[in-house]
Amino acid sequence: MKISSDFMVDIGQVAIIAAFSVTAYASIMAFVGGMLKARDVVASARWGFYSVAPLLIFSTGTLIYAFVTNDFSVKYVAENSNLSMPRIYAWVAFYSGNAGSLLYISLAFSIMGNISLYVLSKKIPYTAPYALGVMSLVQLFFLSVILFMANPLERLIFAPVDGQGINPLLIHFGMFIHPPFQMLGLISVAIPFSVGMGALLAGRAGRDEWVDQGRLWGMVSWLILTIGLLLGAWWAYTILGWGGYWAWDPVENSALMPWLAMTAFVHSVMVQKRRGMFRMWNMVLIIVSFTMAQLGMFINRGGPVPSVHSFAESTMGWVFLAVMGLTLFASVLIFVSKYDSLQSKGRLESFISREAAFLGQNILFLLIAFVTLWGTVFPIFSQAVDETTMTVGKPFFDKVNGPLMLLLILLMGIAPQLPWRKVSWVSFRRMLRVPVSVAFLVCLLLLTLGIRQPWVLISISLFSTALSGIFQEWVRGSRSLHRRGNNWAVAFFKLLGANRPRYGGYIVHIAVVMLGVGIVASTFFDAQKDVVMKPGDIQTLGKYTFKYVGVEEHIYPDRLEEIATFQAWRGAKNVGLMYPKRSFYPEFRISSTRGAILTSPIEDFYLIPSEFREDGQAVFRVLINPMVWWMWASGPVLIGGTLFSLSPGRKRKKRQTLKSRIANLSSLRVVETGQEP
Amino acid sequence: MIFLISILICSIPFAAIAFPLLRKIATRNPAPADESSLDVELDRRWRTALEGMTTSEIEFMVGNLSKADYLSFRESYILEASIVLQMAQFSQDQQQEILDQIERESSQISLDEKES
Repeated sequence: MKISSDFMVDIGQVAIIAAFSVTAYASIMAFVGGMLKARDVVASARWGFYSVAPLLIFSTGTLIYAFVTNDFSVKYVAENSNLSMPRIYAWVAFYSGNAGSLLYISLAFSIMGNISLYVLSKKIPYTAPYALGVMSLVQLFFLSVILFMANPLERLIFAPVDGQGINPLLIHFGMFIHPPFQMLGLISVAIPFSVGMGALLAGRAGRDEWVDQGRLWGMVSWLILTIGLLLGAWWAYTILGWGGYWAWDPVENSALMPWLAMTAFVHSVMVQKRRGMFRMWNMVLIIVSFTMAQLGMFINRGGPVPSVHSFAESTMGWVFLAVMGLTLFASVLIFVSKYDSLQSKGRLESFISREAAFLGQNILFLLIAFVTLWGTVFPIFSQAVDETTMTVGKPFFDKVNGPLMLLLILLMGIAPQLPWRKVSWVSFRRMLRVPVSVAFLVCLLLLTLGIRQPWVLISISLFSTALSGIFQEWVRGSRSLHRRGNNWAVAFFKLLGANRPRYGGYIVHIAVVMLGVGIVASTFFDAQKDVVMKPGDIQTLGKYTFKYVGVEEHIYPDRLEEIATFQAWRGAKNVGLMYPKRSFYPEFRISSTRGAILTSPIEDFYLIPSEFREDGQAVFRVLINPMVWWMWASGPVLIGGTLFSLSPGRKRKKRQTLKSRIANLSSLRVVETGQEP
Repeated sequence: MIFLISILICSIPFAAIAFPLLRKIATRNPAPADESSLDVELDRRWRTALEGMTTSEIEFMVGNLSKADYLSFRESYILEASIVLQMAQFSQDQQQEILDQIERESSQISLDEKES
């Protein structure tokens, strides 16, 4: 039976209205229940919040159904698809526009919110109602915008015969994963924020009750943001075909800023967990992270900052900015009102300690975030001051952020080896002996190889400090366990299992070094040349020789495609044919370029078609990007390390509480002495 | 038809919010342990002390700590663990009083150290 799309869309609208109403109820009743300690009221609010996800899944289903059935009476469907769009892209079309992306964010947040709420209500039941209240308010905002400003199920009075079509740049399998991760990453910051704010509102932040959950959801959010950023860079490099992976574009920056703040938070929260310190600082970090995530959404929604890939809806951008201001104001107010309860238990005993290194690292992360923020919003200030829009580009960000990032790498090499509290100079020297010597040797080796750029020498030496510190610890630890009768492999895995958060973090650090090596190598050792060629011409770049064989034109209903064919050799070895292409979409009046990449762990050989001329000649940009492969390879390592760090370890029968341990001790004494203790 | 299905859809959240209120599902079960209670706090401090001991052992094993540093850390964590163990055997009021006392004394010690 075929169900009418009109019918489905109407039902979808009802589901959105129901979701909005129940979220409004949950946002009020969660606070009321929490304050009155009315557990049934809190449960009612919680269950109400749980019911939002199925409602939004349903309304999303109706929108996708409208796409699949080409129901152009739905304005959003008419604007973002047409008859020639492959049906599989209905999912991409769903979040390719402003209204649909808001529904996606709301849906993703409701699902993630449900999972986190379930865990929170078990682990911190008296903080959870307030966290639920904060989460509900965030969700309520998105549902209000969907309902009153950008409804993806809004109908047109007259339905067009065909739609305008999806942006052709989005027709790629990469779009199935990159935007969902990016948007989910930004909104997921709301969960650790809700946990922190919930703890403050509940008056339960003074004994670090929220820290374990704050860390858990902070790391989950950080992981999603990281995957989103890496996929974005990969998308830019492999699909957009301009030869690079990061352009400091405002939308890229908008995802980077909360990532930087969250990275600071996931480190700093460990200090609170272990030492009861940085209580205020962690609250500040989580507020800054959420503010930056909101700023990212503001920029995405067409704020005043020009970007190549934001939604052009300037009014909505300002609504996001206003809500960001309101949230920041409310958060600061709550923070100040609970200031006294956030006094740290411990104190910084020495500047040569892990907590001091974490503090330094936190400051650096925030500095980089604020430099990026300044560079991103600079056009607004320049416009306000002298009515000319001045933008700052890559050189500014590279020059200011580059040295700060190197300092971070230095701390990344040293900090994990420092113990908590303090360390004697003897131990400090001993732990740094190997990493510093390795860094020195690597620097000498690079100089011997003829590398003279100071930034390269510094960065590679610092990377080797970080790596050698990690491997030194692993080797020493494994050797010690090996001496106790374990074989080397068992000893190594036993060592990793003995402290999963720490060694998971080490794996993440290895991924960061892989990423860093890729960035440094591709920044300082890339080669590029623009060539004009006609069929049969042969050119060389580095050790690559390439022959332009010819070009073929293909006409499709929506585009004209020109595919060039190249024969390529690395040295004397034939490495096969390469097919860079350029497509022109007359309806959208845009061209898209797909480079051809010959990739290896050593370097990428990258061909981009710039122009095909009528006389048969064509202009190509040819690049050699060293070690970019390592950047993409770092992704799985990073995910693996984070998951390892979060994994609970060997499952014990049941964790003994302190009370039960004492009870056991008492019964032992009874057995030993035959008397009650 | 639309009307009926709309009612059906709206009944999902309505049932979700009404069910816990009508059946009193939360109050029928015993109240969960308060995450801010002294017992939970002591349990947390106990675990932190144990983790601290394990970590310093690893640090010593991998050569990051000298024997003197290791012994000093170990001593401080054992002290913390034994305080927690003792505390757990007192009544709630006594626990609070002792905790406050310890915190007052430790902040006094830090002040004295700073002044000196």
